[in-house]
Amino acid sequence: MGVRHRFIGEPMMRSKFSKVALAALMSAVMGAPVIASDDSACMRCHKRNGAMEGIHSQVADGLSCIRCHGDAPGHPRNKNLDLMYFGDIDRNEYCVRCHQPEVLSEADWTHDVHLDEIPCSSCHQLHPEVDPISGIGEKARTALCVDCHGNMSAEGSK
Amino acid sequence: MDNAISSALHFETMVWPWPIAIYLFLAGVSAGAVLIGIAVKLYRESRGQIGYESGIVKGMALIAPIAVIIGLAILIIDLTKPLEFWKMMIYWNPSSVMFWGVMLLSVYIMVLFLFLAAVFYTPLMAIDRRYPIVGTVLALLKRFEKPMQTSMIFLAIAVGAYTGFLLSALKAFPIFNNPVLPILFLVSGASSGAAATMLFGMLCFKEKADSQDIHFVHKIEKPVLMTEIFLLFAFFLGLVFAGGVSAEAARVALMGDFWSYIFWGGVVFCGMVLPWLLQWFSPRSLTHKPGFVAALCVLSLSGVFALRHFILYAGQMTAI
Amino acid sequence: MKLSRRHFLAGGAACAAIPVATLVTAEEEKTGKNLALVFDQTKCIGCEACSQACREANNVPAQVSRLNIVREGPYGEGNDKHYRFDRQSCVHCETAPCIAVCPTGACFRDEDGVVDVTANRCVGCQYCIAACPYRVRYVDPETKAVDKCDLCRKTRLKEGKLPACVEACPTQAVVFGDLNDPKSDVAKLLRAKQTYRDKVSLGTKPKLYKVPHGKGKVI
Repeated sequence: MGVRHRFIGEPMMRSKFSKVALAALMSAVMGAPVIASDDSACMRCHKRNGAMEGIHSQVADGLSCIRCHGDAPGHPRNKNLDLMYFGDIDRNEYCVRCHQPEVLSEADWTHDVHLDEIPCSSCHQLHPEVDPISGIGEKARTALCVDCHGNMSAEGSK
Repeated sequence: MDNAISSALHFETMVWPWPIAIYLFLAGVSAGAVLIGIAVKLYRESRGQIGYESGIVKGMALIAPIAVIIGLAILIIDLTKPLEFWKMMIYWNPSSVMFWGVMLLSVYIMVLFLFLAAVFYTPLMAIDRRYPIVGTVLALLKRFEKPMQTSMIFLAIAVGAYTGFLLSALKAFPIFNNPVLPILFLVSGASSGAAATMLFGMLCFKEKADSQDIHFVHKIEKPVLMTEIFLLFAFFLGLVFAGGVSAEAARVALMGDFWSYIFWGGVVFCGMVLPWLLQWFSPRSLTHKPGFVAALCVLSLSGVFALRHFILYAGQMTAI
Repeated sequence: MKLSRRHFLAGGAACAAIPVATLVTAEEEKTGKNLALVFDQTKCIGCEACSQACREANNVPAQVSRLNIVREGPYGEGNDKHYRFDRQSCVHCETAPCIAVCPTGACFRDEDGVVDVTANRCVGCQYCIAACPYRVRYVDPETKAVDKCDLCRKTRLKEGKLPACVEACPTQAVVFGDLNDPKSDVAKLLRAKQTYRDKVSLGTKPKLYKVPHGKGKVI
């Protein structure tokens, strides 16, 4: 489609599919004990994303950065080495492992038509205490629709 | 069951609630009472008897104005702006059935009072002794009794049918938008008028249950009831033949939940079958009892009352 | 709560001038218009920006609404999952049952073909609500008069603006214009696309044209 996505709180880390990350995520999801990592190292650079505070921090006694984002030796220095980045559409499959599409559909019908189209992270944020999209008003919600679809159709009609 | 009743009384396509059904009923009773009253009056006059002395005619004089006035009052209260009802008199829209209804009912009520004054000329002349002007007016009215009587017949037919036309103008509802409806309302109005005049004639004016006038009204009642049954039959068969939404409307009305019970139990059984069975199979000694005749009247009145509610609610249930 | 903007298109945002349908025809003539709407179901995304804008522009009380988007679905499975959206609002019939039945003449059609209600004349008999096959009329809880969509004729049209729903729609799914003007957006769209109208068999000649959703997938 040639469309590039930009997101709020744009995650910095990008990665090819990483076995380490997958293992970390899986174990996080399963609730199995994992090696604790020192988040402070990550936070030195990635302050603006904040630490994991919300409901996902409760999963398996708290998640460290690398449990979801993976780890790559020489990460900050080697610019070509990407970590797991949740701004891509193919990352949705990790979310869907717990969040069943049927349940999502019941929670809000828009999941049905966006699940295969845009990354979950374009609407949801896991790092803050509360996902900003939960409990947003009717008007703010519509404003989100208008914002994206307005641009899409403006592009389409050119 | 509570849920079923609540869903039968409040549903999405419902606009007009029960006060309208009561108005439709009362307007029909009034028009029917006028028709029956005039018929009895003519019958008595043809036999050299005095019209106004009949309990039936007196019953008509009581019921016809009261029913139509209460009906109109209910209608006005049911407006969202009851205090602005007078705007219906000053703003006209000749394409509206309701506009013509407002005009018709105004004329109907006016002529009805004048006509009743002419019919009860003799007893009313008592007032003349204190207020001679009354006598002058009454004498003038008495001269116009015949033309007023003829116009009352037409006005009553018009009022009886009008309540049907009011609904049949609603094109989105198959049960309303039906040419049989005005005739059905007129005929069932006549049978309710017969029942009401007999009932109040006996209750308020000491009419005997086996009097010649009651017999006469019974004689009119039979063909009226037959016509009503045939009209109901034609009404629903027409809906079924029309197919689509119309057939669905008939199905919901006759074989649905709450309102089909009202139809079969209230309209057909209580209003038609039961009175007829009682009339036929009861011994003569019983059929001449005032309580028995009154019970039959109440039965057929409640049948017509149920019919108006049934048509109004079942009609609004199925929309195109 | 801060919700920053989300853009799908890196470059599209800057120059995203929404093509606005022009209301004004070459000659400023007051009569002879026949205003209409086209609702494109292939474009509607069900965001309800239109109904919110309508409520705001016309001060529609919370208990009632002039414009509803009716969602149907989901249809299809997996990737093909989609919804259908329909617009429910006054269709401004050319032979309007509400105008025919109103006993006081409170319901009327203005010189531009917009069906409206004179609140002051309405006594609230609700005959028009029963007569309307499109079920879009309501009693305003404040004025006690019957009301409905007036294509913003009392608010925005007077100022030379488009109806609120038309301007609010992010996907230009609602197009507004004069059927009598062959150069209007509405006329152009009706020439180009197949449309349908609801309940034409009742002879109401509605002027809300609808482009059928087809599959109903968004853009």
